[in-house]
Amino acid sequence: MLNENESPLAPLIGQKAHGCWLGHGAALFLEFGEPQPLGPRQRHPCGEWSLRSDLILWRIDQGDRVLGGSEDNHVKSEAAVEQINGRVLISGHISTFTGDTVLEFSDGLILRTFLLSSEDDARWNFKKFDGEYTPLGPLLAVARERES
Amino acid sequence: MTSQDAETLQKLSIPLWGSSLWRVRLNIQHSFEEGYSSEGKDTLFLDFRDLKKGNRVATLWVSGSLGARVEHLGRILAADLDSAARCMEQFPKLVNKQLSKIDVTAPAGDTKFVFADDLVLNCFTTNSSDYDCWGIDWEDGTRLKLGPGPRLWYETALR
Repeated sequence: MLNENESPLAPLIGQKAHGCWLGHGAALFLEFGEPQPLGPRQRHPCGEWSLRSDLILWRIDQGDRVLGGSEDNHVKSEAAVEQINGRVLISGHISTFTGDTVLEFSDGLILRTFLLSSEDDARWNFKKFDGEYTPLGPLLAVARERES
Repeated sequence: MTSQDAETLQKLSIPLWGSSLWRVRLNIQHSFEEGYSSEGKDTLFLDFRDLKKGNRVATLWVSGSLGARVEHLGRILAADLDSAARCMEQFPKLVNKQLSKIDVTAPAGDTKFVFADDLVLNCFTTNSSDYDCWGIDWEDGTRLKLGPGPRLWYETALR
């Protein structure tokens, strides 16, 4: 597990999430920081930082309850994702080898992701508004092993 | 599911701890259409036997299209979205391994089946209902349903 200082999620800690939405196939779009102006073909405003997923599993819990997950029907999944809006990210932990992530928001809301492929891993990304992407899956671990 | 519920499920699974996995059964479904073919994993079955007596103890089943994967020391060996070829290469590594313990965590019933030599079958709950799950069918015909679902489901295992 990466600690919070070396985690790419460090800039997000203490930031409020807003404009989070559910894309096709249960893809997650989580936005943090000041909303940026809409681009020509954009329908959803980006934040200064974004987390985006595709083809990973996820679930949102609060206390003893499961609010929804990636295999729920779209209405339920969407309602769960909308619960993130307005909440502050308290902590974020990424598993070194898998990229599985646990994001803890205010009011005890927890988002967990789970990678479901060892063969295709660039499906959970951290994106800055300048367009720089950091893959949070195993590719991150591979890159760090090479650096060390 | 509360932490106490998870603890109860875990305790009910204890009779399986220490058993040896003697057979893995993985059904792979191939679909063919004009210009397109795909493959998907159906239910995974793990058959356990008593190490000393050699008799069959129970079958652990994991229904298809779930968040299940096999790991070694935290690295993924094979997962549900992997190719059939990869699964067929990696899943046999579980054969003859002794089940050390089962960890069930609240609130969703995520379950880790921990085997000898640091192999883990990791099952992740992806929905708030109970239509997909995993569980243990004991040889006496009772079923311990693990994973997601309302309490009623796993209380039936107490009969």
